[in-house]
Amino acid sequence: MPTTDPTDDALMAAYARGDARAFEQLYARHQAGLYRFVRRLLGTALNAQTDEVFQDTWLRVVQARTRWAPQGASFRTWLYTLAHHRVIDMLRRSGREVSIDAHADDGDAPWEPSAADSGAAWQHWPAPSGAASHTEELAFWRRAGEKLLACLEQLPLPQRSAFLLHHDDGLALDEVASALEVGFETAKTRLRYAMSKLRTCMGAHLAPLADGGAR
Amino acid sequence: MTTPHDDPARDAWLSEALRHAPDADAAPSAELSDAILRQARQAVKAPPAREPARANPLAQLWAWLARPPVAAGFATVMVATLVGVMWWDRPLDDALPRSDTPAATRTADPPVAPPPPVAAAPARAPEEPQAFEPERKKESANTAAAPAPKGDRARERATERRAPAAVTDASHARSDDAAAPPPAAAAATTPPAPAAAPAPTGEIAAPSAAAPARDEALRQGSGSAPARTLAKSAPAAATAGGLALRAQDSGTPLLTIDEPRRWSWQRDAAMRAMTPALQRWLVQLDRAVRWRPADSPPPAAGPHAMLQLWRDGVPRATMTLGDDAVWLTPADGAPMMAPLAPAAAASLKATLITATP
Repeated sequence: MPTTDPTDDALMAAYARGDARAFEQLYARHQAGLYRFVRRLLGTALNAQTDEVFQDTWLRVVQARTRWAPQGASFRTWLYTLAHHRVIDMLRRSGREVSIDAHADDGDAPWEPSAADSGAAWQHWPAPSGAASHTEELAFWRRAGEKLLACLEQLPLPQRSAFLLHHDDGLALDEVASALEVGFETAKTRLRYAMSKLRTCMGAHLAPLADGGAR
Repeated sequence: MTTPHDDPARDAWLSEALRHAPDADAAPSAELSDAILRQARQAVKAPPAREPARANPLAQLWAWLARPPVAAGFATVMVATLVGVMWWDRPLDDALPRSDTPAATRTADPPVAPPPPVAAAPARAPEEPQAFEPERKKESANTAAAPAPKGDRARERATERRAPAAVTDASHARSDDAAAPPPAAAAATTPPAPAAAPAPTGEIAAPSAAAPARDEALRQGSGSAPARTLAKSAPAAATAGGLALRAQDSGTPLLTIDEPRRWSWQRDAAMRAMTPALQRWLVQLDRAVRWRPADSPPPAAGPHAMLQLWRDGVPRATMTLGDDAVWLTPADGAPMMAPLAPAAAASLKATLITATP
C-alpha cells in the first residue's frame, strides 16, 4: 500500500512552525546514518566525541529551524553539511591538522587506475550479494569491514567524507558536492581518489577468499 | 543534476565491506536521543515570549537598527546628511581659509600648472594681434574652456544672491572651480606685487582665452595663487586676443582692447602707454561688475577716480570709479554703469591707483 510520507523539507517546515513531532520524524529518519557518518569521520582516536558532535549537529538544526529554507539543497544535504562542519571543528580543537585540499598528498596528476588496481586481489573476493549465505563469506566480509575502517582513517578528511556520503549514506555525487560545499568535479575527483586508495589498501592487506580465505 | 554517466558507480565490494563493518549498527544511545528530542521540543515551546516583540513593527525596526552593521550605516548616512545640510547652497570659498598675506610676500610657491593645450593652441604671435571675437570665445569655451558657461551661470547665481556684488564674491563665482581660491580677491585687497607683475608681451589676457589657464592654475594654487597666476598666465594668453568689456544683457562689446600696444591711458597727468598692471586691473574690473545702461550720468567732479583710455591717440572710453558704482562712457556709445559694494569700489580704486601711478 503506497504511503505518503512527508518529505524532509516538509517536516522541517512543520517543525519551524512549532510541530515537535515533525522533528521526531526527521530524527528517526536520519539519526542512524548521521551517527555513523560522524563516527567514521572522527575515526577511532576521537570516537568518544561522536555523541558530542552528533548532538551539536542536531542542536544546530533546532536553532536554525526558523532560518532554514530549501534553497537548492535538500534537508539531508544540509544536515550532513552541518555535521561535516562540526567534525572539522572537533578535529581542529583536538589539535589535528585538517587538510582542506584533499589532494595535498596526491600531487597534481589525476588518478588513473594502476596495474595494481586493475589486478587487485579484491576483485577475486566473494560476490557482494548483500546476503552472505555462507558462514565463511560472512566472516570474510566482517574482516573486510574492519579493514575498510582502518583504511578509511588513512584517507584525508575530504576524501573520506566524499566516500562515506556517496557509499554509505547514498547521496548522489551532486549532493555530495553540495554537502561538502565544493564543485561537482572536485567532489568527483575526491571520490575517485578515495575509491582508488581504498581498493589498494584493501587489496594489499586482504587476501582473496579463493586463495585461502582472509588473513 | 548528476547523470548516471557522471556519477561514478558505487563500488559493490567496498559498499559490502562498509555494511559489514563493526560499527555498521552504531546508533546514538537512548539517553542521547532523548536529550536531543527534549531540547527540540523545548525550543518550539519557548518562543511565545518573543512573539509579541516580533509582531510589533516598531520593536522589529528598533531591533533591526540596533544591529551593528545597520547602526553603522545609519550613522554614516546621518553624518553625511548633516554635513550636506550645513554646506547646502553655501559658496565653498566662504569655508576656505582666507589669508591676508600679500601675494608677493608668500614664501611658499605652489606649483603653477602650465596653461592647458587648448588655451595655448589658438595662441598667435604678438606681432599678429587679433581682435577679440565672440565666435572664438564660444569655440574656445566649447572645447577645453568648457567651464566658461558654467562660470557665467555661477556668476549669475552669485549676483542674484548678493545684489551688491562684491568684487571677491563675483570673482569667486566666476571661476569654474568653486573650490579654487578667488583670483581677484588678493588683487583687490592687496596691491599687485611688482615682482609678480611682468607680462613680457605687454598684452593682456583675454578673459575667454586666459580662463582655462588661469582656472587651471587656480585649481592647483593656494591662497597666494591669484596674483601670481594672473601674472604667469598672462604671457601665455596675451597672444590669444584682447580684452572686451561687455554689457550684461546683450553681451555687446562696450570696449575692446585688442592691441594693448596701441592703447594708452590718462588719469591725472600726461598720457601713458598701457601697462600690464592696468590690463590686469581691467580684467579684475570686468570680473567684478556687470555692465548695464547708466541710469544716471557719471559724477563730473568729486573724489572719484577717473581713467581715460586712448587708442592711437584717440579717446575711446572714460571710466569713473565712484564710491558705490563704476561708469564706463565709450566714445561712441551710451554710458554704462555697474553698481559696486563700497568695499569693492575702494579696493578697485586702490588697485587702480597702484596700477596707474
